[in-house]
Amino acid sequence: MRIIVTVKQVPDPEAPQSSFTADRANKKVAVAASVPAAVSDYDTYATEAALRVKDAVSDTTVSVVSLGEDHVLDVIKRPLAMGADDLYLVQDPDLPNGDPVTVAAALAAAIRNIGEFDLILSGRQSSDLDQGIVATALAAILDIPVLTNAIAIEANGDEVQIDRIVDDGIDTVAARLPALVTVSNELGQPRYATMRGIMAARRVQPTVWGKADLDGMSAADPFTAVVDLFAPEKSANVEMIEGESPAEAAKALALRLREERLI
Amino acid sequence: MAGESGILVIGETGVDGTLRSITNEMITAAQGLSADLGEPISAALIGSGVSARAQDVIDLGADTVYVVDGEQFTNYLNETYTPAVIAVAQQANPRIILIGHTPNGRDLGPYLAVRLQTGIASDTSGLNIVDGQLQAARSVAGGQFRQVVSFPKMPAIATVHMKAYDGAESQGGRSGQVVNVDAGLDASTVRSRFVKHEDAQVEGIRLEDASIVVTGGRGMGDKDGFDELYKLSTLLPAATVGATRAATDSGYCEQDLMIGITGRVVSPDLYFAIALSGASQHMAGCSGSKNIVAINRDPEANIFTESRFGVVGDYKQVLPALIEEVGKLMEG
Repeated sequence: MRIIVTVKQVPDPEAPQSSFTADRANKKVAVAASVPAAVSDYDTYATEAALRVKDAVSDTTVSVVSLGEDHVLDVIKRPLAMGADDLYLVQDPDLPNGDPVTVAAALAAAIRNIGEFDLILSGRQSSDLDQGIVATALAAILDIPVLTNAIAIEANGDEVQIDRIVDDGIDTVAARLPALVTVSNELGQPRYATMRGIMAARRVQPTVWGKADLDGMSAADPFTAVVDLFAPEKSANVEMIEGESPAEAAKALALRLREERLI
Repeated sequence: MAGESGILVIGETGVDGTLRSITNEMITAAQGLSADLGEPISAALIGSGVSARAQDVIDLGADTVYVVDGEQFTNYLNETYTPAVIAVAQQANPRIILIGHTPNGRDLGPYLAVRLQTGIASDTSGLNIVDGQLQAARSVAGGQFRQVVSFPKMPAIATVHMKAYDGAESQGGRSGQVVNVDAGLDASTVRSRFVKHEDAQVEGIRLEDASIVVTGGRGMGDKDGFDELYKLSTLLPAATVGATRAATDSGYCEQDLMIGITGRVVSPDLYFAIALSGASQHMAGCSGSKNIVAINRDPEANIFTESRFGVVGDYKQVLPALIEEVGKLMEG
């Protein structure tokens, strides 16, 4: 099987909140230079899902494709160190900050360049923008079926089957290949990179494309535009309950909640 | 298409045909937009046996209900629901389409946007009309920032954050139009299939229905810590236990207790936030709570800025005393 994993590089979401500020003039989040890059969390689960299929189905290769403006090779090679085989980078200064359906169109063009595939795996949403649009839109553009929020995945040469969490339980759904599946964290912890994997990843030379290498990227107007980005004001009017000891504070809290008829 | 008008709400129903609360919430959102635009509200109902619910949706506030009713729509599948919504959209020709930001709505929205060659904003929680067109506000970085999105093309599609709007209440006896729509589904083009559904094993009250939620985070440290949370919740009426993703990923409790941007969304009267920092990804699932009580040993924890009451202290010392005192109060 040929599996493609889409991976996004993001500012480390674990960095302190003070490292992120609203750049209202440019309508985007400004990130302090001290914040390291990271692979978007859910994309590491998508990589894990790909490697589980690779473990189960012989003769499977896993290619990684990432669209961004400033890839840090050591970071974006993490899926390779986990066990993926090769890497395609689409680099453009404007695309990553734009409309998500346009990002999906660029990824679709890159994937057509890569060639035949059986399965595309993506994280359910990115850890910076949390939109959850790009992967599903990518499936629509490639005109393949999509199954989202997988918490378990099985694939053979013809079909992929997943479990997904829905409002009142778990659905099991399946699709003929080629198909796209988005992956959620309930899948289970992504594997660590092995020393052998890290060494192998170092030797991989990524294929790098710019917008000019992508077919069918029209100069049409975007589908959405960001018109404002700001930090909402927080009203910090918390009533701190104190006491001689933690136990006394707890007692005071219980009485205060009763006074307010909350318990 | 030209002449787009009105707001189309894509209703959500359970397999048994009952309307899900997100449908009521989207009707409320649509009513605000409808008043500003002076344009009508329509709704789509897709499923098996959903015709019987059309009047319910009219009573909630829809002027027209488009019904796609058939066995093949019993369970949600992207490949069957997308053509159904497209068939409705072609008849309704709306300016705005609202979809729930639910597991199925998130699955449907982007595919639909591509098919309709239009724009989509997801997980929106502030919908406004500016210069006659939709602008949708949504949280970024989990809630640290707000982003406002505009739509150069119509129809504008927005998925709506759960519990962002109060649900519309039924006004019995409203009159409206019911239109049956044929999705024109060609079964031979469907490449995916529904296999099975398993109901969640819910003991006691569902998180979404609880009046009081007792939630623990990473700082609980282990499963035993969660036992303490259960002790508190069993003392309180209509209360249940929730968790942050850090806690579920660490195996302190079951996965389906997760509250947050990718988990459940709750809005109880009282929310105990215990040993959790208040990361914006978590707050996205509980910020609709009427009263948040924070217990955390770090006085700088973000959760205190989001709370009405706060106690600084180690939960291992605070919680046993709280359980004892609450126990006394509930007895008396």
